[in-house]
Amino acid sequence: MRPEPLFEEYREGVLECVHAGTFAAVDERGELIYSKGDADWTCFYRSASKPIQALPVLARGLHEKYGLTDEEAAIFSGSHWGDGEHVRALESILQKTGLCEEDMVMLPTYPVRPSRRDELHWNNMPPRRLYHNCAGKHLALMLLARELGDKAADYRRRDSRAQQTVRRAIAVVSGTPDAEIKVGVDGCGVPVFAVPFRNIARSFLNLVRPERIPDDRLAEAAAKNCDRLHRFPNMIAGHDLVCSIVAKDPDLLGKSGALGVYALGIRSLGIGIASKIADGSHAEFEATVRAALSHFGAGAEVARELAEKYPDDIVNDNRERVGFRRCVIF
Amino acid sequence: MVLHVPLVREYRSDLLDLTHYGYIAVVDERGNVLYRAGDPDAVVYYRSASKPLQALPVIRRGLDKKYGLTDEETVLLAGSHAGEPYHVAALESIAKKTGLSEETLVMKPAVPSYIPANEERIRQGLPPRKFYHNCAGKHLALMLVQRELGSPVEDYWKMDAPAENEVRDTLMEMSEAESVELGVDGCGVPVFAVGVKNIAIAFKNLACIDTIRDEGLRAAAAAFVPRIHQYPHMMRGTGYICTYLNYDPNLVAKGGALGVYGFGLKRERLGVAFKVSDGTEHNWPLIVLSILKDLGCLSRETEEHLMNPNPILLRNDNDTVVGRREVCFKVAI
Repeated sequence: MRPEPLFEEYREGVLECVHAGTFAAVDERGELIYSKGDADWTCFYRSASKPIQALPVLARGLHEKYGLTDEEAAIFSGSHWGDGEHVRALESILQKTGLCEEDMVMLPTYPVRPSRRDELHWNNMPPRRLYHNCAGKHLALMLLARELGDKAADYRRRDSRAQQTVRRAIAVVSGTPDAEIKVGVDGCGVPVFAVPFRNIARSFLNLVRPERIPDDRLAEAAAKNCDRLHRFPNMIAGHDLVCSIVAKDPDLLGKSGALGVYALGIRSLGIGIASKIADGSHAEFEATVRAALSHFGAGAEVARELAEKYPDDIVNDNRERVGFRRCVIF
Repeated sequence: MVLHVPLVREYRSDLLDLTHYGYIAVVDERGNVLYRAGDPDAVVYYRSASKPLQALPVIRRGLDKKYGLTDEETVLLAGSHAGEPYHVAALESIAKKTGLSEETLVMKPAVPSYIPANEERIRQGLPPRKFYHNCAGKHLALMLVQRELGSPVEDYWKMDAPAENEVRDTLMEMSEAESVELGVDGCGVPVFAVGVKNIAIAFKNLACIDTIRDEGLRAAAAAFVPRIHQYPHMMRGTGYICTYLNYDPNLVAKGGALGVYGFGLKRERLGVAFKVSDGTEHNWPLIVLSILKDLGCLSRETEEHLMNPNPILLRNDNDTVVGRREVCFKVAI
C-alpha cells in the first residue's frame, strides 16, 4: 500500500500539509477507470458500509413489520449527528420495535454536532447511546438478530447470525469472495468489514445501479432504500453535511466512513468511487466529492452547494483567508 | 516534490489503516544534522512551536520586571494555554498589571480547548472570550513589546509592526536561519516558516543556552527557561504533552498547530524537530517517545507520562483495543 498525494494545503506560498491517500473509480462494468495509490489494498469500510448493512433488514421487510416510516428506516443507513429529527426517529423506532437502548453495545455519548452537544451540556442532559452516530445501524442489527432467532443483544458478536448475514450482504454487494473479506472492530464496538479498495467503489456503483446486485431481494431492497435516502437526505447524516447534501440529488448516493473513507455512486454515468485519506482526515470529504463530480461531469447543483459551504479557502480563527487547499487527485 | 517519509502506521486488527508521513531532524550543539527522516531542509511553519522564542524579547527588555509579573505568569507568554481557570486568572492578572486590555487582542472570542473547562463554561452560561484562545499569552507579550517600542499597541499584529520585526529577528537568530517565510497564523498574527532543522537548532539553543550566539538572548533564555520547568502547566494545561515534557528538567519542548513539534535535550546537547506533514497531532506522544528511547534519554517519569495512555494501542469509543500503531523510523546518531 503506497498512498499518493490527494490534497495539498498552502499557507501563503508555503506548502503546509499534504493529505496522501488512495482513490479508485470504476465504470458501469465495475472495471477500474482511474486510481491513485493501490486499488487492491484491503481497506476498512467503516461507516461507508452502512447503506449495505441496512439491506438484510430491509430485504426481510422488518421496517414494515414494525410499522416504521420511510424516514425512520432511512436512519439505518446513516451516521446521524444527533439533531432533533434523528433523536425523534430513533426513539420512535425503539418504541415501535420494543428494542431496548441499554442493549446497544456502545457507551453513552453526546452527539457529533457541536451545537447539539453544547445544548445538551447547557441543559445538564446526560449522554445517551442513541446520540452515537451509529445508533441507527445498531437498531437495524438488533432487529435482524431478533428476527433470526437470537437475542437482540447478540448482534454485536462476530459469529452471530445477524453479523454473518451482514457479511454475506457485504460480499454480494461489493463483489468480494467471502475469503477475501477481513473483519475488525469498529469505533462503536461491532464488527467492521474490509474489502479490496476497488470493491468499495464497485459496491457504490451497485447501490445506485441495483440491477447489478446478483441477489434479487438485496437488489430490490437497495433500489427502495436509495429512493428512501433521496426523500429523507437528512437521515443519512444531518443538514448541511456532505452525505446529506449529496443525497439531495437522486442521481447520487454517497457515504462517509471514519478515518477518511468516502464512497460515492453516480447513477446516470454508471460510476462508483472510493477515496481514503491515509492520515484519517475527514476535512477533505466535500472537496473529494466536488472534484469527482466535476471531473466526471455530474451533480452540478451538489457541487455548487458543496463549494459554497465548504470552500477551498483555509481561514483562521478570525475568518480571514490565510491559505488555500488544492486537490491533486486528477 | 515533497520529500517526506512514513513516520507512523496504524493498524486496525492486522490491516494497515493509516499512514502518517513527515520529517524529522536531530541536530548537535553546532547545528549539524545528525539524523534525518525526510528532507531536513523542508520549510515548515513553526506555528505555536515558536512561542518560547517569541517570549524572549519581553524578558530581554526586562518588561516582566517592569510590570511585576510573576515567573508563573511569564511562562504563559510562551504557552498555548488550554483555557483552564488558572490560565484565565493569570491572563487577567497580567492585563491588570500591565494595563493592557482583552479587547485589544486581535483574535475573535474563543472557547477553552480543555474540554472539562469548556463544559463548565457552558454550564455557567459564560460567553466565549479572547482570553480563552490558546494564543492569548503570546498576544499580550507582543503588545507589551509593541508599546515598549513606542508604537500603537493595537497595531501589534501587523506584518510590519515593530514588535513583529523584533520577534522575527529573535526567531531567525535563535533558529540560525538565513531567511524566513511569512504567513498569517490561526490567531491572526504573522507566523514564520524555516527549515525543519532550523526548528531543531532553536530548541537546541533553548536547551544549551551557552550556544546562543546573541548575548542579550542568551541572558534572556537563561532567565526564562528555568521558569518553564517550574511552571510547565502554563505551557498548555492538564494532561497535555507540552505540559508533561517540560516537567522533565532535561527537556525544553513546544508543539505547534498542524503537526509541528520541537524539543531540546540539555544533557545530550541536541535539538530535535519533526513535522507530521498531514497536520495530525495525535501521534506526537508516540513519536517523541520513540525518539527519546532511540537517543537513550527517556527518563522514567517522562516514559510514564508518554505511556499513559499507551500510544501504541488503538482504542475505540468503548475503550476496547482494536488495533496498534507502529513507528517507521529509528533514530541513530
